[in-house]
Amino acid sequence: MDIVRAPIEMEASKLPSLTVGEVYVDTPRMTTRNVNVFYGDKMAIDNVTLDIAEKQVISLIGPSGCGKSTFLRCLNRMNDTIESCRVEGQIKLDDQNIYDPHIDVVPLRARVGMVFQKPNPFPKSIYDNVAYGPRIHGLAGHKDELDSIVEASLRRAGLWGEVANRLDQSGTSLSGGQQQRLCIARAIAVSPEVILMDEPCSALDPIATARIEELIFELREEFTIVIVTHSMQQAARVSNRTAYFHLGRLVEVGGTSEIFTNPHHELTNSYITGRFG
Amino acid sequence: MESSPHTSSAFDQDLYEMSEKVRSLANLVERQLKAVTQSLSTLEDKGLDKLIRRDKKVDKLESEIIEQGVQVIALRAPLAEDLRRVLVIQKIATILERMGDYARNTANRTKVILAEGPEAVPVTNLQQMAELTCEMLVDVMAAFDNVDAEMAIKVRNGDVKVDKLHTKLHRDVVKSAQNNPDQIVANVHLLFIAKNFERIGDYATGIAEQVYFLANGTFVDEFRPKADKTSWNA
Amino acid sequence: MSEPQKGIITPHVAISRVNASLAARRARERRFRIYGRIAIGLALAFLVTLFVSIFTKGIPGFFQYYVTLEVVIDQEKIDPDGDLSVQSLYDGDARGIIRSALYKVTGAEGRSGRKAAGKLISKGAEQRLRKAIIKNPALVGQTVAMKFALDDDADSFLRGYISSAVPEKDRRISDKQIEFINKLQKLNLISYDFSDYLIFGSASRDPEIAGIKGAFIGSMLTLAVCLVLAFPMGVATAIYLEEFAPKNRITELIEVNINNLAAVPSVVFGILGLAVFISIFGMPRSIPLIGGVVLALMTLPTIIISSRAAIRAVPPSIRDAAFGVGASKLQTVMHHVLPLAMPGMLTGTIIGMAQALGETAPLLMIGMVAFIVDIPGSVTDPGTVLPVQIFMWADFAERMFIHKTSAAIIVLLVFLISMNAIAIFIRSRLERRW
Repeated sequence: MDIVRAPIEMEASKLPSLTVGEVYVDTPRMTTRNVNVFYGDKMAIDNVTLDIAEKQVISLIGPSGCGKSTFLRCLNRMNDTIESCRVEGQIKLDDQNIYDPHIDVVPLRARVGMVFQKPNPFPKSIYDNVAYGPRIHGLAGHKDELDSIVEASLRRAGLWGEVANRLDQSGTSLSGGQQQRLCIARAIAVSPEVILMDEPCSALDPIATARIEELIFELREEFTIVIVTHSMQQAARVSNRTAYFHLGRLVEVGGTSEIFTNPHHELTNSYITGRFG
Repeated sequence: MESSPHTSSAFDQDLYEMSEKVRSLANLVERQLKAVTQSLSTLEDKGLDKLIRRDKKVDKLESEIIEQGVQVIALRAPLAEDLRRVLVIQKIATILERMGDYARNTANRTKVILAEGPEAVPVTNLQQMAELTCEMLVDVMAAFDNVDAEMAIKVRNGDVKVDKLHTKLHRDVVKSAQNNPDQIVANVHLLFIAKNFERIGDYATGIAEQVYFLANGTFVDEFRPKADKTSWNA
Repeated sequence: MSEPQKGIITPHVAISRVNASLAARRARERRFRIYGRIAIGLALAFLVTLFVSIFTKGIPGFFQYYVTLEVVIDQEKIDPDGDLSVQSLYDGDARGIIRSALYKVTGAEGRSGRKAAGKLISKGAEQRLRKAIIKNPALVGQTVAMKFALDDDADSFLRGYISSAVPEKDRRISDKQIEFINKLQKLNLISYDFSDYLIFGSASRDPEIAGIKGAFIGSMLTLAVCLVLAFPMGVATAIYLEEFAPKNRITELIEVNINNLAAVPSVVFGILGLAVFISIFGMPRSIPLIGGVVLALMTLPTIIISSRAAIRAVPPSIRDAAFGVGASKLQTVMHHVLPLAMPGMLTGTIIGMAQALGETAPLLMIGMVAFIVDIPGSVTDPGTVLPVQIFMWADFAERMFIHKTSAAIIVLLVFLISMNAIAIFIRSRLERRW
């Protein structure tokens, strides 16, 4: 058989002008409307409109450089740290425009927590890692309260049993999977409403990955979760909805089972079935 | 086949092989049906034993396809269109194997009819019915090749004709049995053969539904037209 | 397949070509290694020469000749006022007490004989006697055996630098004095001991009693001023430039200038100090405060550059993590970046301090080269520093100063090496791995 690979540039002509599938939901926690993101002159996100439903997991998938991570980082303004980055359009958390100039980014990030690709615990004790957020936001009135926040967060992250008797050890002494669960515990310790996860399992082995996925599955009862992943299986396993990004556009969004069994757009199908990317 | 090849060429190769195998299985079953039809319409034994032996090959090919499907699912984790293709090919293989079984069963019964004295059996409609089902099989496989849902639906709707013929044949055979009570054994077998072809027609519609699923990712939701009234006949 | 494709070399051809090129490659590698060894050998040879030269001259500098005398401490003579006050002791005749003890053992007689004998003893002897009495007044009225430093000429003679074969008028020590020395030696009263003057003495024109204490304390005070000024300023600048400053033309210009500042000759900073602090502000010369300020200016670029490198070495993932839980910029820097960068900053600071410790030129410019006997008690007292002291001693003619100079160099080197060792210790101990 002849293999003729279509370069991704050629795929640009196939991009839909409108996202395929239902971008709106009945109970949105976050809404984005016509969002454009630029790095300098380069457009990284092109007119993305998407609702993020409350207490659901939505996966953002797509080939490298498709803008899914950029989009994720817009949701808690982590892009602010990049000087050349400019965001247009409207992103709302509940009814508040998070790019409103009057909005303080500190409480925003307390409401929209984040877990990163590489487990990045602070080089401090396990306890201090989890207690850091509550401390800086003044969530705990006294030591006992802080203790209970730490314990509850570690329990919810499924890590309490493994670290209960060594809370004073360094967070970096844990295994990769444990470190990532510690980072999740750290994120949920400030009781966020939304948790953003940027390829949280890409540095982990399959067992650790399975535990994180199980954790995400449990957390969706309490939190709204947006997860960027390169693993389609992972998106299929943990999410309610899946959004496919391509060259900065949101090509298709829909129920995860629908996207993975019967995608409607040609690009989505090509990506999911492994025809490029 | 597909719009563009996979990044993994081995995956393409696997899917290609599976499609080829199910095609050759369909060809084999078609050959079985044609052979038994010939013996029936001429009321002569035209290699019925050979046909019966050949059914083993049908079974073997079917299990090969199922096995390869399992392997592809395990190793390549197909999704969307690819996943549907693997599943549909497996399902079609199973259906084809059942069709093959009916062909063999029909061959066995034909042998009995030939032994019992074939003068009094009304085979004219039967031949037409057999040819029709065979045609359905060929058409539905063409639909599979082209992933053509429209054509598949046409095949599916064509089953009405088979049903109608079956109803007619059923009446003929019952009449013939009443007229020739001493030929009752041959007529009973003929009745079963008629039923076999009716089932084969149904299976062809089953394949058509699989092709529809392969093409659209959804199942045919409209109710299938039926014209088999034998169950309500005296 | 029989026709080989263009651009594809068969393994057989490839390996033969590789083998052919191997010999040349190996020879080149061998040559490179030999050059490297020669370079290291040369460097080591120079280093060894330096150390041998410094140590052979410096080790004797830690020792000097003493004479032990039985001094009769007569109340009337030593303390005429009888109140043991400093004034009274200075009015007393400590010199006479020591000299009479000396005359007694040498048997020196007559005006010229006594004069010759008196010159054998260092001028510091009487001061030593006074101090001993202040420390222990019970000595008054007793006869005590005390060790006094010999004068540098006698010392040089005992070391063999002055030969008795040379005609008397051509040497700094007379025949009579040689006779006395021989007598003292016979009586076993002369000893070659560790030189307490080197460590505890202050500046003096008399080499046998000159010491580095004043310069050492001057160095400490100067360094303290330098550290207090340069470290917080350097760290703050580094943090601002790395974490807060917008990336534009102005910050770029500042960065370039800081890097250039590191390359400015240190004497220029001295001139700056002279012009600004002494000429314009009219501050006194020779004080460690100005020395420290000048050295702070000089070390600032080093500290800023190393601190910025340390900040940049903190992985961005840590910042992300802090921002991710909602820490503000300042919290992120103070809670995470700064603690993680601190070992690197401290290392850079210590290296900068070590550099400052060894600096001479800018301090010469602000007058810290002055001859100051008093040990500075504060940063505003005039003083000098170790390298300047070394510089001054190297200029003096007396034979004994050669040894003292090298001994002071050894002290400075030990000081510098221990500072570097602390830097290495901090780096290996505090540095976190992540």
